Amino acid sequence: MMRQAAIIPIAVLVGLPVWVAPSLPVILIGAVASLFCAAGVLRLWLPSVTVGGSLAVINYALALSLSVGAVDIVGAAIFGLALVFLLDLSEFARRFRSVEIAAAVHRTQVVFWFGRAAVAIVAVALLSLGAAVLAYVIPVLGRPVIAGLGAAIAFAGAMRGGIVRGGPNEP
Amino acid sequence: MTARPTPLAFALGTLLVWTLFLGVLVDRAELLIAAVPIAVALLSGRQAGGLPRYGLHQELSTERLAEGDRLAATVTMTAHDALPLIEILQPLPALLELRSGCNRIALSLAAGQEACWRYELLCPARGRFSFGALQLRVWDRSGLWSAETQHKVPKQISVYPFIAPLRHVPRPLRTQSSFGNYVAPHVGEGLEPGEIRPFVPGDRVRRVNWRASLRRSQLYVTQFHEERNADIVLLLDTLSETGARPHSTLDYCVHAGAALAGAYLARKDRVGFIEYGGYLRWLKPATGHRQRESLVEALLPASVYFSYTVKQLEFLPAQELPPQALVIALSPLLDRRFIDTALNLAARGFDLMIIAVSPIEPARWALRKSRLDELACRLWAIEWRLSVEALRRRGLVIIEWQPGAPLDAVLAPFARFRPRWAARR
Repeated sequence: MMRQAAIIPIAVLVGLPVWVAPSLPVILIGAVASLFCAAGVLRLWLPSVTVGGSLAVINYALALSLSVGAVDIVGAAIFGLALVFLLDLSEFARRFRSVEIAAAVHRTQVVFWFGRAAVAIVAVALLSLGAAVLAYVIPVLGRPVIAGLGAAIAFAGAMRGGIVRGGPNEP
Repeated sequence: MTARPTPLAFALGTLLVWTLFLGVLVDRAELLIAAVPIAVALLSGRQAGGLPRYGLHQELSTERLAEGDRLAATVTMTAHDALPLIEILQPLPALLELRSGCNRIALSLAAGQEACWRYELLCPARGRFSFGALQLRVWDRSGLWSAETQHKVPKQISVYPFIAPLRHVPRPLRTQSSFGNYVAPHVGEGLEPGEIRPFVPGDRVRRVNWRASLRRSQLYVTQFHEERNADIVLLLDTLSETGARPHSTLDYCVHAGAALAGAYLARKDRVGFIEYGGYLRWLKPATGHRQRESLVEALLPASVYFSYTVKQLEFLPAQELPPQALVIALSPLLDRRFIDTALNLAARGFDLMIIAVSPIEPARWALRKSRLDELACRLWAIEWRLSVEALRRRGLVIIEWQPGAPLDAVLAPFARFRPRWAARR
């Protein structure tokens, strides 16, 4: 069931760049990406799905660079969610192949995924709104400072994550 | 228990890096927005702080089965803490086949909740099988972290060989002193009438043969042969084996041994057992139900063990291999060391009989069907038959048994006397 459901995110990942910029290179890269994704889902091989997803991201970047439209927040959020769902579905199918899965597992897992997608949508909305407010409030010269601050916070977070991981759960 | 990030975490990380890098490279905000759901997914992973408390109990329907029986296993799990997603695997011992249900299950339990599942196994081959530790894998709900542990519930089952009923068993040449079912050559207190002789003082009047006495005008008495039991020693060759279990030559030898032991014990004979191979194991001849259990238990773990040294039967105490015993060797007659031992026993005057399990058919069943394999098997069959004939010419009594044929039919000609073709001198 999970493998069949993975068709939807693959279609989104291939279709969205073509919809943004319908050109031959985009269609070709999309076809290759879909082949990798489909092969990974069918063979339950996560690296193939990751390669397919990476190609889809490259394809989306190419399509965006070829197009000259306004920022499509909804399309971008759907693309990101499709990537996450594709990996989740294929990995779930891989993890639990030939496993008897209790009905509660399916139910709670789907609820978790949709809850997380809702959180992601809210995060996209808040970040977009915050970005718009910052763009309005902060002058052009102050934006690199904000970007540097964000980079520093990200670096500190990564450092903390690395230190905490080496803590109580290590054997 | 050690929590580890899963491949999914690395895959999401890879995609996040790609999205951010390309977003900066092509200078488009869409890619940065597309990175947000990926970042949220990565942040949703929660590293397990410790193993949740749980209770796990495995119950087997029985611990003693016969070949071909089914075993039902029931596993019950009680979650003392919430278990968002737990995967439980019961590794199955080799040769046991899953017939219904599943030995691997994924559960999601709230605190205090109990779950139970059941699966059935087919036990097609004899042996002792140990159910190892249950493997538990606790997943983070996001699938980004997992931790593994084991739950040890040692359970062992014994699958006993199928004991075919035998109506005919080879008749021993020599008998022992205890009461049994064989007519002994010497006369005494018995039921089987023998020769008659003139009456002497002290003879019982009830033994007087009146017909002979009237005819010869002199008292004659009938002598009776005693009914005695015999000692049987089953000599199992575990030096060689062909075919794949549960249809290997050793399996057939064990089946034959179990059937013979049951049949001889039913005739009040004393039955002993010697496993001749990498290990030299033996069981002293005895009779009764207890000996039947001991013999089947001794036959159960019989297997081919590699060893550079093979102990000789001369080292065995005399009471383990009594000189008057009928030694029934069960062997595919493939290993030279066993053949030498059999020749040695025959030369020492033991009443030896070899049930030679043909190794060709088990090997043929294990091989894939090809013309080359078929040709090789046919050549091997000719060669094996020639070696058996050569051993017969050296005085060994050999009963050929093709696996698949009923053992009773093969042994029937030996129930009353030894056919001459069994040993050509």
